[in-house]
Amino acid sequence: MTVNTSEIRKAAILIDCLDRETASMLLREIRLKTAREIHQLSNNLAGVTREEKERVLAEFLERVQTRSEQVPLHPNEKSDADSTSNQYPITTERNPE
Amino acid sequence: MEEKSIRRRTLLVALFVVVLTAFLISNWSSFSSSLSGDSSAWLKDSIELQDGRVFTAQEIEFLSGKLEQQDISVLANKEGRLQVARQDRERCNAILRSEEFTSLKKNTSSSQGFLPRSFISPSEQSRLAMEEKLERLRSILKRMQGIRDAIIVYDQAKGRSFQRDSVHSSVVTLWASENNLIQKSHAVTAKQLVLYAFAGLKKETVLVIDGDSGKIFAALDEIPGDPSDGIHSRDISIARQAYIEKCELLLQEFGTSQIQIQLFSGHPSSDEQTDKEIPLEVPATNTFAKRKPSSNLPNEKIEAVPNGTGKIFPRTPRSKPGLASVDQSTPATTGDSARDSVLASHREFDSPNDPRPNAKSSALKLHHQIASIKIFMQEKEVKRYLREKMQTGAEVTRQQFSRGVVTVRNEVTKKIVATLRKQAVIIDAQRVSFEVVLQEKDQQAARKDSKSAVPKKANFPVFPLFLTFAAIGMAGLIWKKSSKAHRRKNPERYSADGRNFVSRNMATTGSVLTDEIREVIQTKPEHSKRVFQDLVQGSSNA
Repeated sequence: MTVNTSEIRKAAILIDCLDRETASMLLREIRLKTAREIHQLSNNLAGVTREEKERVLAEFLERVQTRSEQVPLHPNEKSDADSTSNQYPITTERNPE
Repeated sequence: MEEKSIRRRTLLVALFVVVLTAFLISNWSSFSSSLSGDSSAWLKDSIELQDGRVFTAQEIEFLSGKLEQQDISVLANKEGRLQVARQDRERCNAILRSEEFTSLKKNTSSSQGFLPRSFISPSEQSRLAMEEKLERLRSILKRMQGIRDAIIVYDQAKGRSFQRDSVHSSVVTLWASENNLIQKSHAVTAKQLVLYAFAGLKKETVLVIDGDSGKIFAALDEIPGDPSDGIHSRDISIARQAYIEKCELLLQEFGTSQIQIQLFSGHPSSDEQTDKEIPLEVPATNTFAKRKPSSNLPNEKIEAVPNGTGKIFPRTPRSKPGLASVDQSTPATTGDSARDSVLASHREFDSPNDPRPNAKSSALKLHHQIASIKIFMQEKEVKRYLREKMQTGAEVTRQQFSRGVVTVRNEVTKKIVATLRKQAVIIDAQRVSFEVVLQEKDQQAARKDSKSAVPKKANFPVFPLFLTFAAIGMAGLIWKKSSKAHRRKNPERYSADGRNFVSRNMATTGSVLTDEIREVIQTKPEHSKRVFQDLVQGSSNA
């Protein structure tokens, strides 16, 4: 799987805004290598403007809203990524904003 | 061979004579004769000038002339110490303080300064070095407020002949300036100064004396309430008052608030605490101003965490009054641009009513003393502020209120910390806490609600009324849902002021969007996970 750098940055910005538990929940859903990369980047984020942060957060929020309206999940349905999911723990302290 | 040996001997003798001459020249002052005859009675009632200070030959020569003019008998010993009769002490001190003697002393030391130290005997070198050191310490003490003059005498001697280490001792004599008295704080400073200046000195062997009254300052380490860093308690109260006034000004836009500043007064066990009540806008109805923070705490605590939704923790049953508070362990980040103008705006905190000339430094000193700054604000004021700034409706939901508390807390903390940092005060945002207190009317209403929950006998038709309420409730829910969806899609949901307000907080922590995202992730975890996967993979089919 090829991952775009800008997407990694977006994910890192998102993760940076979340608390540990929520961030850990999301990072478990992706591959371990990518998760590590995102986590590392979120700890060393530089040059993030307010607009960029706002844009990333708004985009994520809108996507979730759109998805929940379009594709209602069955209660018993499990994520596709379960087979490839990892147990990524966030052990290190995240940098305060 | 004999000639060579004679030459060698002659050279050795010549060298010895040269060395002896040089030694005698450097120490010629040690052999000064007594200036007047002594008698045993006179000796008994005599004292050493300037606490046994060693005078140079030039000084003794100068003093002998001056003292003869005033008919004062002086005895000089071989070491250069002068003894005078007790009744002549004041007159001698006057001569020693005169400009003429001071200038002579300076000239003597400067003329000696031209000589390379290598030509001076080791004892003379050490004596000069010691004199310079004492002079420096004296000048430090003289610069202290309230001290006119100071003399430090230092000595080291072996108490007993078989004792290996010598005993070091020092006497510091202080003279107060006009309309001043030598305070204990002066004595403590002088003692500490001497203790640190001379290695080997012990606390027990340093004596501080008030030169005017002759009072000896004993047990200086046990002064109760004296702060270890020498800050006077009056300095603290003045500076604290200045801080409170500054905070009043800063928080004026938020409405009625109460500020509590807690200070350390040297010892953590003896913390000072000051309450300041600020009736700003509605003093007539300000029942909050009479409120004590510890009295009658309300029933609910709204804890706001950074990047998160405010949580409401029911603490006790609703029949009791409630408190909405923000956990002080969740500080807001603050701007650091204040550091640029660190000392420039330092004068802002100086109290105009302070008569002391050095009062301007009190605010700068206080940064060691701030333990915490607590701000209490009425719920009513927070809601009013939110209505004005974020254009929220008349009814504010608990979640909105919780977010609002976070926002106001961020604003308040940011303002206070940034302003304090401008004053060169290094303060952590964690020391500022913010609490929202329910007003008494709400508490009474809460009590009423809890009472009305007891079932009463119905005297009117219940069923039609129930149907009407149900219909209104359904309509309200539908409207709320549609408006919520509309507001989420509509980025212009706040007014221009509201957007600015939100934007400013975006730059810090606890943004509204972050709160929403967290809420969405918690309510729709599966969708959020999928969207996150899509986001990472760069897929556009989300």
